[in-house]
Amino acid sequence: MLAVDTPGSVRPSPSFLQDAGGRSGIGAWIFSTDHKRIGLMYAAAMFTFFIVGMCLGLTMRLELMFPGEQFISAAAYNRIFTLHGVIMVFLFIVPGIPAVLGNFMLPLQLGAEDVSFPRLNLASWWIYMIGAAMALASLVVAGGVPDTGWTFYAPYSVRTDSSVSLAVMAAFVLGFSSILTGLNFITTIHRMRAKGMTFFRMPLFCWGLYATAWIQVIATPVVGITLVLLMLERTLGIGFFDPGKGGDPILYQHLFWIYSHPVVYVMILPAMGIISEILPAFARRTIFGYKAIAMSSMAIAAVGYLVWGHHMFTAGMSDTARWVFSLLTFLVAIPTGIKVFNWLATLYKGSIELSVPMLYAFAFIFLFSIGGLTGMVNGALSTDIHVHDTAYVVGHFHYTMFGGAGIGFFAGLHYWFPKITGRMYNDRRAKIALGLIFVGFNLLYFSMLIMGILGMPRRYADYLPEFQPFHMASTIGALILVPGLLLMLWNLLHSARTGAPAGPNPWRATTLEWQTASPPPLLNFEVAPEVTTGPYDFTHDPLLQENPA
Amino acid sequence: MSVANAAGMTLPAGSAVDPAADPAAAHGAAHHQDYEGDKTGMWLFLFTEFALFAALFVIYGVYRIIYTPEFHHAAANLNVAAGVTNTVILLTSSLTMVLAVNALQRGENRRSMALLWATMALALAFMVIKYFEWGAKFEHGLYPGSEHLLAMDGGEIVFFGLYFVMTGLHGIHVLLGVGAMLFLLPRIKSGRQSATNYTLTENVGLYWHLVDVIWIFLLPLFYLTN
Amino acid sequence: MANQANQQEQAARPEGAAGTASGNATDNITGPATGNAAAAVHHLLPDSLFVAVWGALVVLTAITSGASVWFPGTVGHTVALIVTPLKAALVLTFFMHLKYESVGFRAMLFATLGIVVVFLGLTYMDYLYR
Ligand SMILES: [Cu+2]
Repeated sequence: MLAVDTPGSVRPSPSFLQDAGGRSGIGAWIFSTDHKRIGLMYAAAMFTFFIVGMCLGLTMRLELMFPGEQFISAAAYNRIFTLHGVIMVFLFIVPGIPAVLGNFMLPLQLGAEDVSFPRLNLASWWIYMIGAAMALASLVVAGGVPDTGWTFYAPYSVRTDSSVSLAVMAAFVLGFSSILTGLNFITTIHRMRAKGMTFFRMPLFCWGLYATAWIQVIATPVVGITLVLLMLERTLGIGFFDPGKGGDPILYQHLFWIYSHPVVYVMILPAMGIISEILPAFARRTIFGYKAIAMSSMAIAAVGYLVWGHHMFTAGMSDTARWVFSLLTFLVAIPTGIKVFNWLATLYKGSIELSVPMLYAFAFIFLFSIGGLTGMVNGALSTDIHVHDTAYVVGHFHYTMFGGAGIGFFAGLHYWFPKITGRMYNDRRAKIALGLIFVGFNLLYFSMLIMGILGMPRRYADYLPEFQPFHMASTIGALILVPGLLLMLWNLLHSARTGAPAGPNPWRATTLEWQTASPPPLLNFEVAPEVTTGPYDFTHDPLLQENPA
Repeated sequence: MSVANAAGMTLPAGSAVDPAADPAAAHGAAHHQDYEGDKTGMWLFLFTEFALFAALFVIYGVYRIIYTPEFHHAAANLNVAAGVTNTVILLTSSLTMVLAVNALQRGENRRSMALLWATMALALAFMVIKYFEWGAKFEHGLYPGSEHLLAMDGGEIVFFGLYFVMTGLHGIHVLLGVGAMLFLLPRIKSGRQSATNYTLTENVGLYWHLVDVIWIFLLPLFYLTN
Repeated sequence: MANQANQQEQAARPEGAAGTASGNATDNITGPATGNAAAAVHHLLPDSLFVAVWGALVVLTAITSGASVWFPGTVGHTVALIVTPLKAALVLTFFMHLKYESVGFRAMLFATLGIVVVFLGLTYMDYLYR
């Protein structure tokens, strides 16, 4: 049944970690075209930025523990939340899952040796690093960190002296990296699938990446050109977004959200794909409604292009546009609901194993459901007027993007860690970390939901004393969350060197990446795999046959 | 997922001297044979280019309905003859380009190169006309942020802003296309691009036609608006 | 000996992958296609076809610019609205070979154009009803 792992008959190839393909030293990494090494390089860079972004977030929480100015000025606070947003959005969560886990797993799940364009893949990483360097350079150049918020709204972003031009150029460059990754993934999925693997035999993570890649390819250029125009506005005074020159600042918002709403699906769709991998593996039964989940990914990507206006309900759009966008926004709930109900149906009558990845997946479903349901309040025109620009939006956003995309990312890391490193992590520590994350997370962000409803505005460095209990609870949540995140990362790093050997398929999962050695050899498979069934076929699972459920 | 052992044999890809273990060799050989894959990648890239200009078309579309009379008035300052001439030049360059690809596919490398030179000459002619056109605007004090321009109506400022940004971005694409052709020429000369391996040439051709398609839209949006 | 066989195996693999991917025409939207350039049955079209297309493009350019110069306003704009997409379609169909590609490329192009139309349409929802 397995293409590899037949001891005695075969001398296994060295793993990709030992076999750098003739390169040595640091060049074995930064010039490697191996999709697995590129994925790990992205991971190293991204988690560094993640920790920086996390520290910035913690700084804000500490400042907000008490009303009045504690240790940072209001102006510095503006810069900190901008930098927190720019780093977390553009450097971590948008490229996160596709660039790290997508790069590593897509060819493995398809049964391919690499992506379609390995050198382009390496170029994407370099472009990403250049963009990251530019973003960080805005820290030190004249003008200092932008203070506009991560959305760079005109007209303030045109007028501020902070280094907006450099930051938007960084976002432009990072977008280019994202486009090239998406282009690579679409081509890989079309051209590199194993023999017998039809589109509807692809693992659902691949479907998530496929839908994501289409957003990356078509939506990213829109924000790219918009940011270039913003820069031209600052340098040449073109006037597209300046009312004094006939321009319209709301048009900037349109163009920004034409990209930036679809891009939240770039963040969440791969995470949903990860959950669709983990649930069947630990419920030990095939996924319920495979085609519905696959197609709902495409539907979310498509509907995602129709709803951007819900970010602009109070910006001064026409009433017609407001109710049309509100109506369309509710359509997103349909494919999303299809996914969640199919996940729950997958669990029904499964033989559930409460492993670490499964617990992370459950945390994802819980937190993402809160994120999705609180989003209805923002999507409904009338209620959004009340909560617009309050801490409620910040809470909602973090429930979807951190509780959804972020926790999904962590779930995937814990699921594929044995495949990537060949070792197991410490189970107990991973569970303690998840417990801290879960408790801290809810305390931190649910407090924001409540105080937002009560009227606490977002992006304020100071507040009225009546909000203090909520801010205090929120900060305590942050102080629980941060150690949880650090423990999780340390556990993974530590176990990568010291963990017990995992073997090729510790979870007894069924997709192709588990049919090769852990860590995989340079060219992934000893023999090109051939696929004869769907991705989650547990009918041959030895344990299930011993005691049929 | 059940996996059938396709070849029935598993052999180590092992020792350091084994050339098959060199990823550059193995991957390079593997991926450059996927003709359809390369073309798929190129088309996806063209889609991102479409989307890039689409954002500008949206901006144009919005301001055109807000400032219809101003746009008509401002467009009268543009040189229709120059715009139409440039259109014909670019269309012709598209023809020479497609003939160059065709010649290569028939194995006529020299003819292909000659046609590429012709394409580049036409591109150059396009840019020269563009240069004089822009130069004339600059002489009249019409450039982004100029006092003369800022004294005009908002709609006219936006029109000229769009004119410079869109034709400028298109011009950058023309230059990039010429760069791609210069990259291509030695490969056709040495026979690395040939009747059996012409993917790169075809993709440069696709890019050049895209530049043409964009211009086809720019002509009525700016020059034929009054 | 062993290494040799292995090399062959690896060399054969990408073609195998590409071949099967395209073998399933209903499922693979780039459609039936051959694995590599050498084996590709390419539609070698006569040069005269392209010259004819170029002629049509020049004539259409003459029509639309003539219309806008001699009948400025509604007539000129209407002609431009009809002729311009037609010209773009000619370039895409013949110069860019879309007519001879599998249906998948056209599907992807129409999806992209559809999204662009959505961008403009929904933005107009705002500006037309302000
Ligand atoms: Cu949104």
